[in-house]
Amino acid sequence: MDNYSGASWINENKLMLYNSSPENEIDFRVESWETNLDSLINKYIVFEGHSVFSEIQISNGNDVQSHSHAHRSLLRAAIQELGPDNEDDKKLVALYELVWSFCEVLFIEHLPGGCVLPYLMELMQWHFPQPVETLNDVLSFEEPMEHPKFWDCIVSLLFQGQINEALALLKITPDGGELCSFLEKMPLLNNFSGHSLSEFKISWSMWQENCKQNLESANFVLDQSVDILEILCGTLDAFIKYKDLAQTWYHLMTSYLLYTMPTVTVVTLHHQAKEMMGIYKDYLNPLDEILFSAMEFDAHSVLTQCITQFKNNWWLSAHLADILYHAKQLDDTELQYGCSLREYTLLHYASELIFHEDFWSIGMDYFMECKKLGKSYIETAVPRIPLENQNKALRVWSACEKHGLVSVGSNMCRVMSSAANQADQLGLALIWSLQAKDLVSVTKISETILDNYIETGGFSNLDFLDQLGNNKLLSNRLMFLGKYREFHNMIKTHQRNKAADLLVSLVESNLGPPRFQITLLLDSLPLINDADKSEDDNGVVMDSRQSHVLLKALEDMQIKKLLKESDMQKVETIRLALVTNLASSFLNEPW
Amino acid sequence: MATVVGKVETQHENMIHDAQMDIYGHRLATCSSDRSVRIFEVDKNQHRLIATLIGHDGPVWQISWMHPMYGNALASCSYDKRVILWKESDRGQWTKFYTHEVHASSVNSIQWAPPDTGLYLACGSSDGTISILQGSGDDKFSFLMIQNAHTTGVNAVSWAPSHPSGTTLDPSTKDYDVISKRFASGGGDNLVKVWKFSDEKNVWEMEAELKGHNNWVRDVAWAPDTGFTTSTIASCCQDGKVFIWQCKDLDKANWDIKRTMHTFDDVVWHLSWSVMGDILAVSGGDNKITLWKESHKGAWICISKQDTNKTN
Repeated sequence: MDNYSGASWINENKLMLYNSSPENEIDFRVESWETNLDSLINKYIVFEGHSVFSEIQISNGNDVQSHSHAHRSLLRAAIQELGPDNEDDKKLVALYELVWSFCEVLFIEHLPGGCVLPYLMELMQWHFPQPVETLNDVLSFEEPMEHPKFWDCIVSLLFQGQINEALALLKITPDGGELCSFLEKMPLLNNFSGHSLSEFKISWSMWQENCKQNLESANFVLDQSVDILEILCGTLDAFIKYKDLAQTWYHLMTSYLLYTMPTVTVVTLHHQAKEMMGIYKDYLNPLDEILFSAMEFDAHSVLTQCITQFKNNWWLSAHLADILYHAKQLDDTELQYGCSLREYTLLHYASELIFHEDFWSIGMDYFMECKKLGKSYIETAVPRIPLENQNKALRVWSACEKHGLVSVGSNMCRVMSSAANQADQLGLALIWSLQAKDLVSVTKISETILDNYIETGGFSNLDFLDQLGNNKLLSNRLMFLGKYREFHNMIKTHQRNKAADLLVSLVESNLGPPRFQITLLLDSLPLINDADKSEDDNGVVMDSRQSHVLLKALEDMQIKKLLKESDMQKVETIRLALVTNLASSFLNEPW
Repeated sequence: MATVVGKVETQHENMIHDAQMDIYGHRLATCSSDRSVRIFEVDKNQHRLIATLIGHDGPVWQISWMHPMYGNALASCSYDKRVILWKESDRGQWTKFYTHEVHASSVNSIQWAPPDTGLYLACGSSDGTISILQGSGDDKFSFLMIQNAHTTGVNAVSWAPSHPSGTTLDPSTKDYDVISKRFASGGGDNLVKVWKFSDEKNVWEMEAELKGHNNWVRDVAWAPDTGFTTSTIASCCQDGKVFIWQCKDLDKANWDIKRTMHTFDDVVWHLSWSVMGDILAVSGGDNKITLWKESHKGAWICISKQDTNKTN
């Protein structure tokens, strides 16, 4: 990254680079470790993988085998069902599937009799579908034998154990009769039910012995027929001759084992692997090393190589580490890094997800499975999830609640409150502050609302106040605000006596800000002046005691010099009204 | 592979000294020798200039976004000895709301503390002092000074995470309320220092002095806390060395682990930890940015090497 003078992080995967050169441009660069999670295929495996992952955590190591199958099927489904939106992603997922399948058969699968070959053969048929495709092409020819890939097709079908398909082609060759008679009799492990493994071995050895005897005496018209029989006899040279058809060492190994050791077990597989890798030694790549490590049962090495090889996307490393851990194939020894290998991969995968707008909540779930460092990572990451709207904020907040992230959740509420406050949405700001249990802020906002009332004589959007319930008790100012609103509601519904009682208790309580007292006293005027409209018999809504309380409050304000010059007119009006009311109440009250 | 996904034409008329994204990656602030600070709104790969802040009388060295919990605001520091706090009052309207003028020389580095620590802004100056502004809400600020923090000038300040490493924010544990008020600084005296606030005395006291650099310390960066048992500070030097300092027990302040991450051929100007603290971005005098990551085996590996040719 040359020609940049400074760098600043946007999130874990994005780095902004800038330079001091005269161009004065700032480049936004997405660094190599960011995954393109937006492609359909990636979205699919992220969502589906998460649901399997969650089930694994719930079942806590039971039924690992079926969970492994579930992961593998979702990879296959992703490759097959999703259109060609991105061939590169598809290829990557196919590699995941291959690594996963090998690990599954070696580490997780319970193989009948320990025989691994049927499983590997199915895998090869799935990953290398060309033989069947070529077969269809060959058969579409009027003279199939004239198809340039006729013999290659037969060999590759044999390499994949697709015996019936190979027979169909062999039948039409000059030496077909003899070759077919050998092939038809070949004992297959898949079909060998009802017999013991040792019976199969005996029967298979007899069959191959017969092939070998005939190899010496056979008198074929075509050279290719000899090759075919050599393959049936398990002659290594014949396999090497056609190694290009197998494409990879693991395919050739599988094919070779079919005709030499069909009952091979996982334990001895790596000997064969080494030999076959030697044949392809000039073409090996890191993926081959991963598969070989799997055959050596070195789960740790498989994962560390996956981390290096698939550094742009942690899906495979994380899920593989998780399933191997649950299958008790991966210990939880702490790495120099500070956590286990499983946690290391999960942390990285979650970090990848958490900054994505669709996957942040999934990312949180993965973090929460990291017992050692997960919570700290989440504390660092969640505050950076953009809160574009109220809905998103509520979702993030409830996710914090769900995971017990008290401090993060409360800070988030403060952010929302601060933003609402800035946009003059005081009611909303108050709700978020209450959510954060931020008393200082609740008090401050309540006072601002009251100040606004003094200025404008009205409240806006405060309906929520009526539903606050016990939350009102959190702050004196809020309680005052709530009560004061209740007072207005009483006035509206003509409950004048109740309103008067409430008003007097508000003045007495000192719950409100001192500067608001004068407003409260002014509110007594309509109650006094319109007293004759009252439902009350005697036309007085405030008794002498209440009038006294208000008059005293007025005096106190004057003594404490809380009144402004401009308030003087009001003071006189209030005093006059109160005194008048006091007089009327004396008349009405019993001595 | 690394790709350029967007460009911002800043319209600055002189060198850009700092560029910082807000916590959500939605807004970008830049500052320049042209004495201005500019704010851009960034949406995906689009950007829009929303404010140009004029107020400084000299080159503006650094900017730092305030945590949105305290409002939409940012601080800038300049050669003009001042620190200015700017805030967004109504949508898009940015105004100066506080000017901090206590330093006798250029203010080189500023940083807001993590939100849980409190509303603090540390400012390091060429006059050798560090001032720590403390907000009390309502746009009111007070400050404390550290005299002679680094005798020949302070080049960098960097806050520690709010919660000391090794603890998590689990409210059921007693450590929940332990907030660490600490920061690191680096200066022209070749030292990295760790400062801690003493509640009793109401002063910032030096807690540790990290010796090892043989030339000016250009930048310090305290790594985010991601739950490890050790606290980590990275520091870089005029002589091209980048050190990683670690401390297993902050309260004992034994920063006894020092590793040389790498020795560069040229001066190293800046260090920046990724959000999760997994990757350290290093900006060198040769105008190269390299990225370093600690492998699961604990070795520091340059992960940006393969990109070097492709990004020209």
